[in-house]
Amino acid sequence: MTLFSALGIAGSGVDAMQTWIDTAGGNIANANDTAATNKPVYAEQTAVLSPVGAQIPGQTGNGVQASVVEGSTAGVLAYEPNNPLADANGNVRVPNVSISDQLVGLIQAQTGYQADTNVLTHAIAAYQSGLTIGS
Amino acid sequence: MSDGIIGILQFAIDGVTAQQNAVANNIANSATPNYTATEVSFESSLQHALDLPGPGTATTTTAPSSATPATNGNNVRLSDELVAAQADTLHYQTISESLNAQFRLIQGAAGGSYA
Repeated sequence: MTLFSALGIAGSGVDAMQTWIDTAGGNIANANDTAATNKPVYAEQTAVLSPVGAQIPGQTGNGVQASVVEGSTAGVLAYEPNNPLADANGNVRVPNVSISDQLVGLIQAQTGYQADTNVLTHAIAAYQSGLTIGS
Repeated sequence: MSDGIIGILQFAIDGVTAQQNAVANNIANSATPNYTATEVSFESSLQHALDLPGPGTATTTTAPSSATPATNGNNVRLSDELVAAQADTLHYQTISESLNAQFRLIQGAAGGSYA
């Protein structure tokens, strides 16, 4: 246990939630991208959350981390014959982004972010009172 | 554990710190798939040690939570953890204030001022 460890743990949570919000933002911004069917299209990004270090029973962990995993650039084909990028069959390639999934993830990430900053506020108040001991 | 009230308060403030770290970690992992929450307890052990007629030993235990996990395998209850974060902070502030009160008493008894 390091000094003021709750701050580091909650900070890792804020970082991870920020990564999640960023990936959702990027996915939603690129949800309507189009590409020719012979070209790659925007790959959906997923923030994968995992605990820092192994989970050992009887021990408190060291926070959370988020890694960004890129999906396939193949996307899905959509029929848009009026699009200048459309092929002979009238198809274009669009990213396989589910807006509803992204918005749900955005809310989860926002809730987590707020909870983590709440922990930071409380931990700071506790540590400040600890620093008055003996003074 | 050292003797006397200061030793007891010291043990308690360490226990609350461990609880606060566990709460921080549970909240940080509130959306992590397959994460099992940890719970830290020391109160009943301390109470038991204080109830003994002679000197007793108290321990702080960290154990996995037995709450039912959600569909993603995570069993953190965010609202409970947020309440615990608030309670731990107040607990911590109370104990550090009690420690200060003890030190003021000792200071006064040693010829200094009680203020």
